[in-house]
Amino acid sequence: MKITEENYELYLFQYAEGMLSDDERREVEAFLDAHPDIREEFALYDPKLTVVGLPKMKYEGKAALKHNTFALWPVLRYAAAVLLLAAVVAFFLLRNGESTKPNTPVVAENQPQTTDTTSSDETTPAPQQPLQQPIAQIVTKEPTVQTKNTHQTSQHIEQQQLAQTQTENDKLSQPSAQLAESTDTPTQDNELQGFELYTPTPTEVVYTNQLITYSPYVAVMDEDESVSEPSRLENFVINLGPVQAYMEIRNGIAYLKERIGESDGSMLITLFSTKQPKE
Amino acid sequence: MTTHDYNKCVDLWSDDVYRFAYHCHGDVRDCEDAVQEAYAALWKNRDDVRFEKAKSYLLSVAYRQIMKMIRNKMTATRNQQQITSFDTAYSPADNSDLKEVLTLAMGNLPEIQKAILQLRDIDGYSYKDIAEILKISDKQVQVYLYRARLNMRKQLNDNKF
Repeated sequence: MKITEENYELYLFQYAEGMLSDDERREVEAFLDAHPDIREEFALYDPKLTVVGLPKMKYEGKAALKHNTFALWPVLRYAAAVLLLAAVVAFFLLRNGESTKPNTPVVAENQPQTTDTTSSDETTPAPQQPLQQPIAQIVTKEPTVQTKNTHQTSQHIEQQQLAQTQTENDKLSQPSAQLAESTDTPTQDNELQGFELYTPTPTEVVYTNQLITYSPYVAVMDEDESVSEPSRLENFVINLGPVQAYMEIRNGIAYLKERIGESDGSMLITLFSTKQPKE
Repeated sequence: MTTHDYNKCVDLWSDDVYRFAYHCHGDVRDCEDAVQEAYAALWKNRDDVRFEKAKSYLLSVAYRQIMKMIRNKMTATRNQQQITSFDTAYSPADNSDLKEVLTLAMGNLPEIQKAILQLRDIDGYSYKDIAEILKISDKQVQVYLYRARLNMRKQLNDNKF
């Protein structure tokens, strides 16, 4: 090492603290011999001089320096995050609730008039009343009765007809007897009161594409309006035209249900057999 | 560092930081500001400062704050006040109170020498730790410490202690 007048303080300090090797100590001693003023100054240096005796002091503002262990900001952040999440969830729940609300039932003009012959249909208008509830959209064109599942229905009719032979004959007789007994005012010519044909006005045209399913005995009309499969009721109503026949059967069922509480195809046949077809 | 550890730092070392700042500068208000600045910095950087290094961090910030305040004041005015306080407070015939003598003697030292004396003699930091606190090299620490003790001795000798 090289001791100079610019760096001697460091080496004197290390010399006084015992941090130098023997060679380095000899070098420092040689420097001091060469510089008596520096040696005189170094003689004043006291390595044991300490300030450990300085008076202790007390800081009075400790409370102001401290922070609460319950940190409010993180809690606020979490609370804000929870509230935001709850708002988002509530928004989607309300939105889904509105979307799943059942739509206001539209008075569908093409709604199928499904009538179950075994169930009571209280909404069916009285036979003496004209048709209140349109079963199809009123358009200015030729009335057509379009049906679906024609093949299936025709098969069902065949099965019904094959299965009911003697039973049908019995049914035919029974309803007639019951009907004769239940009617209020039986006439001599078997004309039933309260049963009136629905006569559409010349300007009123009814178009429907619904399957006529009043009973297995109802004729199924295909799109070309020709009779695909004759039925027992056809003989009574086919000359009325498909629309009027439809109306006739509908009113007949309503009449039967009103009078005797039930109706089926055999009853209709009996009912129509007492009526003279309208020309 | 948790909030609990931070509060523990306040209880353990706020007095030492205040004493350190006071013996470096001497102005009570400035020293209180220095302490508050030091703990504010510790709170802000509590995630980066380990509890074991918190005291040296506080002393380092307090020292820089003191030096900043001193540089903003007129050096001549400060020196005049220290010498006056030294002359009026000390009586050569009365040397029974060593603590007061030491305090007065330190008052005339440069701030960095006062800081190093305290850090070495009172707080017991190594040269390396003192260098880290004061942002100087360890050789500079040794040089300043040599000068500080030499000056202290000269003052005591000159005032017939």
